[in-house]
Amino acid sequence: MANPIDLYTVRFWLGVGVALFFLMPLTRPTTRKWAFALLNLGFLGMYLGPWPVAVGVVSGVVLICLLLRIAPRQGLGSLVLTFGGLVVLGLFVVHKLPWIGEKFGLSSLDRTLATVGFSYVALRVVDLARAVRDGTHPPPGLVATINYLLPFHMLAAGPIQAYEEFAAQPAIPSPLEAGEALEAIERIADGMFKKFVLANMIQKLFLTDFRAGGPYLLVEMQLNFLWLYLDFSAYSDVAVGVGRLIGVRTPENFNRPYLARNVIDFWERWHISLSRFIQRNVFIPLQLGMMRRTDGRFPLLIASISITIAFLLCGLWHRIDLHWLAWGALQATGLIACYLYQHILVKRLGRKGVKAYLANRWIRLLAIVLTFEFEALTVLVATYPFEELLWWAGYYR
Amino acid sequence: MVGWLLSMNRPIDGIPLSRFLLRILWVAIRLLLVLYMGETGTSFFYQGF
Repeated sequence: MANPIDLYTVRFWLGVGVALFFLMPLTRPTTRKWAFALLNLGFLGMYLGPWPVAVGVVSGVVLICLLLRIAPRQGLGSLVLTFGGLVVLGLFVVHKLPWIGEKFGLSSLDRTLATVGFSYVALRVVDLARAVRDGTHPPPGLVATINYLLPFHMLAAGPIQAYEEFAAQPAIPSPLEAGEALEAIERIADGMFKKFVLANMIQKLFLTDFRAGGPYLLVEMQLNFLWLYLDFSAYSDVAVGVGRLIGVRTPENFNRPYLARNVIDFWERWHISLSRFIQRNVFIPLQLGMMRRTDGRFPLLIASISITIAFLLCGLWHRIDLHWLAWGALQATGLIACYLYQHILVKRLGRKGVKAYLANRWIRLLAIVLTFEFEALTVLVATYPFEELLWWAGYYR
Repeated sequence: MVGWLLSMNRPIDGIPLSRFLLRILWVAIRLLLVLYMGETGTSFFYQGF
């Protein structure tokens, strides 16, 4: 009975209300941790049913806990991490390629993974395993693992909290003042308004899934990107607002991305929690590893290779298909082009010249427009129904 | 009456009461629009990822 989490239902807000009611008065760290874990499982139980949560989810978390206890050990730790990594990867593939689930009779597993938001959970597992393996944090207990991997308000669409941030938050949050409560409620209202009024209106009035074609394609490309921003940032707003109300630190995911002046800047403003995850877990380890092997001789080349691998993986994290692979390749190309352009600018203009260049209002405006158009184009590539058009044109017959 | 008007400026958590109430009103207006225009079964693009 796996059901998607729906923000336009009493059920979701009942869950938030119950969390608020039970968590706010708790002043003992252990009690609060347990209460939050039970709320997270109870919330999942509302959507998945009690048995899948009790049998599937809890046993999965117990297994992760056990593996993490062995992970820091030499030799056996690597074996255990490889095993755990393969299990997570297998579940991820089943989740991303539903035909595999259908072929092997695992459709209900796929529905469960979709409800849990497994793509986000998988990234949290990776972040947690890295933190434990690096020795920066001890393996967490069962309750802390549930609270980190399955926070009810971040389940459906993130953000992806860093384990370091989760571990660093105070066990008991400071009491919620009236002003803070109002700000939190405003964030929730912002999010709900963005999604259920603005994004839905744009979708209904202007978006055709690119079927209109002709010159309208260009208009739809802009509106589609705007819609995506409103839709995605709306969920993040709700998650941040709910997090503030219940005293659970929830990372920001957006910082006015439409004002980004280049692709590097864009990734510091858009899906921030994902770009930081990529930086921590893919880009930096890859770059450091290659720099060590080459004695730091080809920094630009190594950065370019690391960016390309990181963003191709990021594309496949979205969906395992050619659209998103192309999206990843375009992002990597954009980022590499920006780094090269910065490099050339500094060489040609010098530090002072670059400062004047960056301060120029017209250049800034042009850069913002170009970045917006580039990112809108990448989303078009990722979501355009190429296969459908090829089918109509007779290529698949 | 004057006392009541003056009390409108008594701050709540550093925010003047009148401003506090206006912000609540704006939240309420937006949520009413959500109730009016929203519908169940609407998922987010990044949901179920």
